[in-house]
Amino acid sequence: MPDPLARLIGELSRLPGIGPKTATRLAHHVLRTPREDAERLAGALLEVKDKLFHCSRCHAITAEEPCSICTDESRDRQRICVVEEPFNIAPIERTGEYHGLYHVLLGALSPQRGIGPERLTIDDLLARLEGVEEVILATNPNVEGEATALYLARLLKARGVDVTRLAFGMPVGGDIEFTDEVTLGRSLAGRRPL
Amino acid sequence: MLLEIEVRDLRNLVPQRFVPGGGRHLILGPNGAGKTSLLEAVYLLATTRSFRTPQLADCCRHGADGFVVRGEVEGQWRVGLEVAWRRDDGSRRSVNGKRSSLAEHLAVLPVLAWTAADAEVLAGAPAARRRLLDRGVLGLEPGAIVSSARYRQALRGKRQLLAGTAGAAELAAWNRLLASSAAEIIARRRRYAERLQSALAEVLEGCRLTVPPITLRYRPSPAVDGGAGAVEQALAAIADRERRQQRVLLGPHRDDLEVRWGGRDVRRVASAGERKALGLVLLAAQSRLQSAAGRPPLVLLDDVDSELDPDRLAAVWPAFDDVEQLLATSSRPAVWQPLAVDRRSTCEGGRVRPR
Ligand SMILES: [Zn+2]
Repeated sequence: MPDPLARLIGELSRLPGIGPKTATRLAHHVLRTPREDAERLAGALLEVKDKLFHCSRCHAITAEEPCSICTDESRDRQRICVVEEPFNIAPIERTGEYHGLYHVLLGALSPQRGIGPERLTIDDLLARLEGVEEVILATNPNVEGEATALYLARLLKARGVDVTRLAFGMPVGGDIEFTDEVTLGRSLAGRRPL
Repeated sequence: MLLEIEVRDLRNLVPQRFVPGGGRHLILGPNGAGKTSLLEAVYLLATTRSFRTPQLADCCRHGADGFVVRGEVEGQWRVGLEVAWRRDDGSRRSVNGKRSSLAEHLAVLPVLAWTAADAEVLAGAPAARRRLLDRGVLGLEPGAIVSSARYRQALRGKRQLLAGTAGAAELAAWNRLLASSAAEIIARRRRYAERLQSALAEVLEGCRLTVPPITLRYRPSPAVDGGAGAVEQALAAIADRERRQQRVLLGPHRDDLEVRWGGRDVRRVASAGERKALGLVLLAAQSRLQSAAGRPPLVLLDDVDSELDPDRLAAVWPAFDDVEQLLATSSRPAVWQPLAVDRRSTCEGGRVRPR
């Protein structure tokens, strides 16, 4: 196989959820597309790296510091919704049910992958609690997400904050990434003390 | 009820279609003729697993690229099941031609099986008796698979946590998570053990087996009689010890079902033949519970008369009188002469024929 193609396949297959088969198919697709398309893709990849970063307060992805949610004065500052990943914010925003702030943990507790509390942004969350009345734990309804929620619940309650958990009507072992807005909205509205 | 099953390239079976019919169907044939493989095919169709091997590759005929088992099941509706395996592509299952979740697949054809692997269910390690409890629970409540899966996942997490340098707070979070699924498992197993005890009494009344009073005593771990809160407390109480020893010391993965035989441990007092008879009667009791719940199982009894002398076999056999569908195999035609069965077949050279 010619070297540049092997290199592209190698790079693509390092992306999550992409195996060697898919990587090969994608690489051959890029090979067939016009040069402009490939340039746009390459440009988009670099732009993401050059212009976006994590908000220093909530760790969401942003192009400005702090992010537009953290600086939005119209939002409810007494509530923080805790999610695992930056991409978990958009689905919750789309429900229209929530108007508070967010905090991104950048992962979940996972002994399997050697991720302990020190690898998450928990200290930053604890530092943001002034004036906060409720923390909503919206980690995924799988084993790692549940363990993370239970871990956080103890820490937060010890600091006198109300802690709630989404009332997941979604399948066990699920992922909020793949949950539709209506279900997610209902889970938010029906959140329960943990 | 299984209406028919079709096998291709499974073990030493000749490609064939087999119609089991209702009631008790006895399949006679010499060892190695394919009787066990036929039951294995039925079990595989119903559960997507083999009772002989964890590797489906082992079920494939030598020299074949893969095998297919297909069947028609009549319950509330008529449903087509298929389980196939290919050397280059692994296993595939379907319900009515569509890829199915395991839970969907399992719900179609409930089976209860007695095979060589169950020979020491009463005398062997507790794991075999936990399986007995769990297959009973699942037969009544297929949804229970969710808490077992959650428990297993959380337990794996906790084991890994203990193997590293677990913080006390982190361990407490995993314990709370474990406690909720553990409490569900314990409550279901306890309820099931009680119901099994009374079903067993009914079955024993209906057969001519003379045994001392049998008591089933469920021994949960931790030994608590409460919900998630009580389990969590018990786990918290030994958390430090678990961290020191770096292993999990409590949890329903360590449960046992104690079987008492005239007030004494069945393992010490019953002979191999008595244990086999009791094991079969327990299976009949499990079948009775499932039938009462509206999910009558297909009962599979492989080499059913091994370890049993003709008198004891004759005493146990009535326990299966009212089973909706049963397939039993034996290599001893003589002992079956006086016994009532609804159908007989012979198995020779990998082919089953009615007789
Ligand atoms: Zn922010």
